[in-house]
Amino acid sequence: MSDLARSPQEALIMGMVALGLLALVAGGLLRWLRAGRVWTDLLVPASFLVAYWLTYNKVPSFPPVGAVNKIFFVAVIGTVLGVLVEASGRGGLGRVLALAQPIASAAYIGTSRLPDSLPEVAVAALWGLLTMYGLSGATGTTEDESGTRRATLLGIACAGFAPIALLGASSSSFQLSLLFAAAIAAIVTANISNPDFGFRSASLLGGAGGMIAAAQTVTLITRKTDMLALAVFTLVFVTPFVVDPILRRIRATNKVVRIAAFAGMCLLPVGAALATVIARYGSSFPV
Amino acid sequence: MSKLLRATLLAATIAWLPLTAEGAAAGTFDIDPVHSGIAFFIDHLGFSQVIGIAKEFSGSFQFDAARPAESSLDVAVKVAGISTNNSQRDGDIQGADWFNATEFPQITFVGHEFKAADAKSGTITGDLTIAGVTKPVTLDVTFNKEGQNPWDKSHVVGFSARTSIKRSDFGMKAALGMIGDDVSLVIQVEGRARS
Repeated sequence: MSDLARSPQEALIMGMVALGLLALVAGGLLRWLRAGRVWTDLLVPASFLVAYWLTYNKVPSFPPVGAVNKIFFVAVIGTVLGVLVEASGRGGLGRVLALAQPIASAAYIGTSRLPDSLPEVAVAALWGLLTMYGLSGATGTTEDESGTRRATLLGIACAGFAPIALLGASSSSFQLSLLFAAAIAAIVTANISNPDFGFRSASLLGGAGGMIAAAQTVTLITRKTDMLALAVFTLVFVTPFVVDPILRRIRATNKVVRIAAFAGMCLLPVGAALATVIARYGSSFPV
Repeated sequence: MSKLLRATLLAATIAWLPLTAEGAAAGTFDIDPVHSGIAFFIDHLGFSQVIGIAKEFSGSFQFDAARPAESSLDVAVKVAGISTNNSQRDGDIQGADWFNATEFPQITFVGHEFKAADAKSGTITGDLTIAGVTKPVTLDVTFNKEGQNPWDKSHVVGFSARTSIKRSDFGMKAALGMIGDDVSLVIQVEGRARS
């Protein structure tokens, strides 16, 4: 992609458009084939892996050397576990794994910080746990609406994390976040009225899990994250627990309107986090 | 002159020779960071070569001009001390996406094969480890001078070295096409003999 572009910004935008189109076509194809939730559940983690490949230009060898390479395998293993959970029909196990996964990934990504920096690794694990809890809590009136809400939340969270990653001295994580956000936007667009859309264990463990591992890498390994901005940003995962009373108050009965309202409310903490980094770093913010 | 006196004078002359003849001493040398430097050059969008330097490094080598093949070399560069004269970029390249100072705080080079081409040049092949990945690298080395430092009378040997590596070989593949893959390394080393 970067061979065709005339600037780094152009390369990033081309990557976002290409991945978005790919996700849109894949989502549309699965919908046309009436592939069902097991298959649509793979759209998000597959997009994360393609975004990773576009960002880092590699599929890491196993065993991975370094945290950035570990991210890939956190996503792959999460996806495989998610598929197995869905195939076994044990939803309860999926929920347990979704909460355990960010703790395991914090320990895995932060291995080199242990045991000296155990409190930092523990906070990263707790942050991931809250993130996953917030995503799991994004439920709608139907399963496809729940899936769309979760995907919307994850997509907005990725876009919101991008400037924090850039400020945290990780231009690659910035790129990864935006590429993944673009793919999720396309997936939501393709499936907003698809009753077979699923954002289940594979999406949670593979897609969201991969992105949580990327954020843990920025905070635990690169270690230049603005913690205030990250704290404000984390409020986005509270949105699922406050949105329904508001939706009832505005009497939103149409699914698309409800999703749009949900997205609008998710944008508030993300916008506040962006305002925080701009206010704190002003002209030195690396735009 | 008695035989005893002649023998004493001869022994004293022989003992003095290695101290006065330049390049005659073999031994272990510590890299003098004040008079040594490691710089790297990497393409930026085809417009320029961004220059980076290693601010903190240490190491030692064993060298005998008469037997260069028996030399040894061990160098460690502190990743947190790598600078490209821009704090934002330095933070980025020391981060997890590039050199990864937290997990891999040192870049190391261990030379294990030394070949002299002529009296003034040769090659050192060794293992270069960056971000946890080890690859063989060959340095083209020019032997500059060996002798006594006139300031502090220490025994010093000096080399210049160059090589080129691909960052992608060490797993650093981000932004290829924008930022060059080939990295030129220029090294100047002054080694001070251990007393």
